[in-house]
Amino acid sequence: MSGWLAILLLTAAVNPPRRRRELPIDAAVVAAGAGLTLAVLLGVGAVGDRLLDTLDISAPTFRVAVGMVLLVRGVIDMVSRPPGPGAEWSGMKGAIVPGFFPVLFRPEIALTAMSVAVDGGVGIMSVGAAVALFLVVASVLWLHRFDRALSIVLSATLIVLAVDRLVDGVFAL
Amino acid sequence: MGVIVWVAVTVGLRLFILQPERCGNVGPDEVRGAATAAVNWLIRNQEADGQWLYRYDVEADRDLGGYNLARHSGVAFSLYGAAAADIPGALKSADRGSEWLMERLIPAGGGVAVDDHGATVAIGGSALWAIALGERRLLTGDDLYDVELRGLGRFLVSQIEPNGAVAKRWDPASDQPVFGEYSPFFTGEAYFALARLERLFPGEGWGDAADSIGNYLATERDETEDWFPAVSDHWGAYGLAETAQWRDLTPAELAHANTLGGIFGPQVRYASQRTKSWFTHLTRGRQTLGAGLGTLGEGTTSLWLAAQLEPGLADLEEDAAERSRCIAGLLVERQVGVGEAVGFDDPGRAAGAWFQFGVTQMDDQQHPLSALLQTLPIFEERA
Repeated sequence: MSGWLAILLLTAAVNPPRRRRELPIDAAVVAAGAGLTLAVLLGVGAVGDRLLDTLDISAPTFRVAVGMVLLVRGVIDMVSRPPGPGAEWSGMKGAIVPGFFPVLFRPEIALTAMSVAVDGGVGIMSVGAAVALFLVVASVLWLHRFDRALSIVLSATLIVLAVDRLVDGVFAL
Repeated sequence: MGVIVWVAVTVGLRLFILQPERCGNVGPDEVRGAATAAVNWLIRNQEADGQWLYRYDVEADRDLGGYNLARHSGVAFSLYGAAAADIPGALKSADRGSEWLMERLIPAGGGVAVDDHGATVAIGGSALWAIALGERRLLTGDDLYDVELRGLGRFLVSQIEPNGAVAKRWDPASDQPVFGEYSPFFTGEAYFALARLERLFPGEGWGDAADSIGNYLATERDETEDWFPAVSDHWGAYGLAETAQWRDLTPAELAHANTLGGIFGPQVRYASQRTKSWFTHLTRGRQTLGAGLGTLGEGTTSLWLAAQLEPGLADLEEDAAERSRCIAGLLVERQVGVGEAVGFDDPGRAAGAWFQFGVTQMDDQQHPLSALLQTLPIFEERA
């Protein structure tokens, strides 16, 4: 897997313009949440190979699973309005709830990170995740218009990439 | 809500998509042991005239009768392969099977064919016997059957249509192929047989005939013959590996090898998720036949061999090895062992065989045996 594909895949899975609506408006809190998420994703990526081995799951089958989850996520994101902010811990603790969980550390993001790490290596995954999470912070800071349109574009991109993952997994030796 | 989504996704994936692929953990000793047990089943269950027990119900201890020439030839091929792996008794049993076929040769298409006594003659028995005799020639260097081998080759060449398609049947009345009727497997068998003839007898023109079929398989067979889904063609994979023995593969053939990999791979993963539990029966279907598993192993091991010989397929090597080891593990696990066999009325017809619903057929031993034998070099390379 190329670095560009990893960045695109993780960015589409994270969908920064959509996540922006669910996050606190304090960029420092969001940045802390993004940093925490990145750290956990690095851990997920690092143990990905071993976890799949332990669970007797091959990389192509995992790719199929990730493709299916991303496809569902892409379609839901495309057709539904983003939810508003949910429960929020006060102050910097907002980096944990809702920053880290439930907004940024989501199943589709964790699964995508693990899949990218298994297929392309933890290095590529970490670059892709860092870019995607940086764009979340950038969205909170600077994106005040067109966020819905950008979100739809990324959802459409996610659907295309999900199908690519699915086909790649199904027809892999 | 976030917790519910996490639980739903992880549990749902594990239950329905990410079921464990149980490939077992076998090594070369277990694989060789299983191959030897399969050979011994074939030796014990060979008739005085050279035929093998065709179909058997282990629970009723009943010979279900029937016979199939292509499978007879296929068993001979597998046994010659076992002889090449130094498994005792395999060569003698295979030669007895070949002697039985010798009595069924008839002139056909400028060469000879194995007669199945039908109104028209299916070519599978002839193609597979040519493959078997080619295996014997490679193993022994003995020219005893060279006349028959070349005769079978000329017959197969006569069945090739201008576009490389191979007619499934030959009409003895007109001494012509029955055009417009094709088999999903005979084409690949003819390809493998002729590619092997080129390796054995270079310069006699067999390679051109093999190339014609190989190009057809690679570029148009599934569409022209309307096979959907595409044929899981382990014989075609054998043919590619054999061709790679004497020349570089063309871009179309390289692409075809990758396509075959994409057909074998998901089947292996799916087969490895099937257990005897009601849940995987419901979600993945029943466990496949020994023959079905074996053909997958023959396909993946052939791709592995092709990848060894052809740098353009290097990307397939590791995955082909992994899938081949997986199939070997499944075959070892599902074979009836000696301990299990004593629980049946006739342990000699149970031990070393693969059964589905209590029934085994000779190709349930043929294909697993070849798959196991061809996995041995993969284990040895890792060792």
